[in-house]
Amino acid sequence: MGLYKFKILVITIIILLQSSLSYAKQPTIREYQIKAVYLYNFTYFVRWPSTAFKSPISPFNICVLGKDPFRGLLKLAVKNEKVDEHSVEVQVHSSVKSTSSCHIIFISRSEVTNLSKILKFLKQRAILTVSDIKNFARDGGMIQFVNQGKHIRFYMNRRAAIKANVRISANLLYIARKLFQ
Amino acid sequence: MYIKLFIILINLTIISFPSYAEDETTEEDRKAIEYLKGLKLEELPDIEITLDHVFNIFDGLIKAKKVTIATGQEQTTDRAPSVTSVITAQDIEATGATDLDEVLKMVPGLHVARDRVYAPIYTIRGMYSNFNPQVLMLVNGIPINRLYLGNSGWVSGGMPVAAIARIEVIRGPGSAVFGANAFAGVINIITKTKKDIDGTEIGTRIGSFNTQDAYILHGGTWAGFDIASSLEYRTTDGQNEIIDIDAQSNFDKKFGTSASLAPGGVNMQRRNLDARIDISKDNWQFRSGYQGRRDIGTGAGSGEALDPIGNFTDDRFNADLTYHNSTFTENWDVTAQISYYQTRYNTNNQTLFPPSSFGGIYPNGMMIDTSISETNNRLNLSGFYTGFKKHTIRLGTGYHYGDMYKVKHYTNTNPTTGLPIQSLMDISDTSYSFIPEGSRKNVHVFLQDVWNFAPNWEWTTGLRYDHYSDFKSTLNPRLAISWQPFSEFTTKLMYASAFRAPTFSELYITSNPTHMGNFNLDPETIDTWELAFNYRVRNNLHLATNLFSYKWSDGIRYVPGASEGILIAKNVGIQKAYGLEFEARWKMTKKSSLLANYAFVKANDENNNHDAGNYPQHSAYVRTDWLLMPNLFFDTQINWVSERQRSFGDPRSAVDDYTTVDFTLRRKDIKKGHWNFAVSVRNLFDVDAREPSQGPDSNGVINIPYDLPLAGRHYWLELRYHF
Repeated sequence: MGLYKFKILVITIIILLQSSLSYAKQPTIREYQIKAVYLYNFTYFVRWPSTAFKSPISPFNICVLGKDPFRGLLKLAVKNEKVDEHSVEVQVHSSVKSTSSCHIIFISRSEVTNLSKILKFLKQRAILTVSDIKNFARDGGMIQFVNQGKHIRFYMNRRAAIKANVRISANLLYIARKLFQ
Repeated sequence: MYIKLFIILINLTIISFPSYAEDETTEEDRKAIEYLKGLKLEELPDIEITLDHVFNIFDGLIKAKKVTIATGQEQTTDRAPSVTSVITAQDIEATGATDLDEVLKMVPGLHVARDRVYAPIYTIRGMYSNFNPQVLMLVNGIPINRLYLGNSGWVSGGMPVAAIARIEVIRGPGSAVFGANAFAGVINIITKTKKDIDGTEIGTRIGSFNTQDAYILHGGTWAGFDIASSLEYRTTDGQNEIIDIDAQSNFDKKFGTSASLAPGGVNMQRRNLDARIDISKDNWQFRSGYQGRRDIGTGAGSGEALDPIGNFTDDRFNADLTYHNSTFTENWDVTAQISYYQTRYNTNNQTLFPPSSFGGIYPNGMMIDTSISETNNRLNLSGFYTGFKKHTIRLGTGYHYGDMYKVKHYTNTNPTTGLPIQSLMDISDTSYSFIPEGSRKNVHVFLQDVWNFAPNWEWTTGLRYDHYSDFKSTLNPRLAISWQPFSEFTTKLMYASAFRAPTFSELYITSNPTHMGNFNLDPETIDTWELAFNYRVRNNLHLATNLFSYKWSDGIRYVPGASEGILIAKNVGIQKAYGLEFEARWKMTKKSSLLANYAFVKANDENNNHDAGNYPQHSAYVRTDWLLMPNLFFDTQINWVSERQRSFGDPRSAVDDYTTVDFTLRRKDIKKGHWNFAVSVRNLFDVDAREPSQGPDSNGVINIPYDLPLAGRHYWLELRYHF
């Protein structure tokens, strides 16, 4: 290989490696970035009973149960945000038993084998349950993320939310792609 | 060799393991989240995301793959009653293959060897022959094999890949569905439709050997029609590896001359133009295409003597109109298809032996130019009937008319005196012409039943009858039973018979001084047994393996005939073989995958009780894909070819084994309007890989004793843009 060709190759590799190249206005969106923003957005469309908070200024807790797939993205999404007067915090739990202070629980795929136990434990607690585990909404979870082609959408189980005394806005129900009653 | 392979693998694992910080967010994350938070909730469901498995390689590799090639009906590869492989456009892109022959290297049990003009010999399960008519080649289900030699054309010129959506391969017989030549295997190339392209894509590539490629694909709607079109162009000087000794070197030694151009480089230049259009609406689909090949180099030479003067031209035109209605009536899914395929090749100044050969009596070299035109017209009707409980019945019938015409023959040897003449003489349409013109008619009917006689059990029976105008009729059955005791595991036992039609060259060549055709030939036949297992060990690991054995009978060979020194084609060959193929597909992590396959075959030439030769007894393929950074993909493929014995009568030691390694690095965003860059190194370690040359000729001379060299290390650089 001549020196000239080699130079071209090196330059090309450098270009390829530069991830700062941007081509369009919309940045590249990844699965858990959008899921994090969804979780944050849900706080606007769901109302928790006042008993879910210790005081009017105690934090609003978004929890991840199991292996955290967000790797800091969720913290980024709720940074400096408030729900009413409650500052938003992110917690990661390994057991459902320690989640009593949570308002939203995202159940990681790592918990798929324990799912029925987890849902049984959370039943009738005022916690919005969210997951991307298959058939989550059908099996008693409240909001299930689904990948539809290149889009992330969600299914809802309204009855599960009503039982837990979590009130979901009609607007959210409207956006859901599928409702389990 | 094993150790070398192992070291390479280990190195790859160490070097390229993605260093992805698990708990840190980046500036890109911050930007993306800021952007998303600026949107309304109802806009989020419409945001297109970039999945981590952008190429579909990580999940795509292990997902159940579907094929239609086995029965005509879409089935998962696990359950289809044949041993099949599927290669998608994503696989092609990831591995950086730029030509069909490169793509097919990833199929277990399929090895791409080369003939003297470097046309491919798709050697499947140890079935090697000079002209390779034992493999049925289809484009969108329509055969492109030709009448003259039974292959897809001895002037190959390759096939570009930008317009290919997927390739389905049967390793094994397929005559019960496809008829003639679905013998060692079937390769069906399916081109992209509107949905596959979705917009406009342009691409360009530059590479070693002065290779320049450009293509444009378009998929859209126009006046209510779905349109897909493609235009691909390639020009290349081709690789230039050295042939040390050729046929003329041997003559030089004998006559004390020095005419040979060896040692000298092979001639591999070519220019290709491929254009295709696909128009569909409702139940109708019209497809048409043109593939032009110009200035194709002669490889190692038609006479096994290097020929930089001669070159080949090849033109192909295809058109088909297909009607498919899946709800024709409640129980009938019907397809009707009419197709047309026209081909023509020319040789231009084909110089079998170079200037000053034979002591200088041929000042311009010994030249022969030929040309053949063919048309193949087909009409096919078929339908699925689902009116019986637990049965899916498929019925079909078809007619094929093939015509070989405009056979041209020019020579600078006077056919009556055998002496050289000054200029080329036209001996077309005389008794000296190398082959007479001719035609063939074929009518077929077939019946197939897939019977779900018990839960998890499937019994497939198929039978096809082919009547030919020029040789005896043939009936080919197939039976397969598949059992899926649980959803992760499938096993199937299969038997099938298949046939290969005698070619026009085997039937009708009469003027060749050494090899005579024989119009009493019967088709070659093969009986194959296969036992296959598919096992999804976990969600991210899929294993498949199969055992096979076959008996190839009535093989058409040239054997001593009535008169001295003349060989005549006869159905005498018998080859028996057994072997296995093993495949593993493993999604190692979220950002990496591994695909590996291994094939073993032992094929015996029963006539001479000798290894059939020229095929690899062992071959393996390993491919890894890594997502190094968001949007940056790295693919490695390793091909190992081993234990290629010589055929009977060839005293040379076995062909040297080889291992080639290819790297491809690609930066890509899947969203529309984005660039896609790639750079690839092929044969990274510049390995001296060779394919077997022909054994001793009728005079007992091995014209090219040191085999046919393949390309050394080479590179390309690619840029694509999707509008």
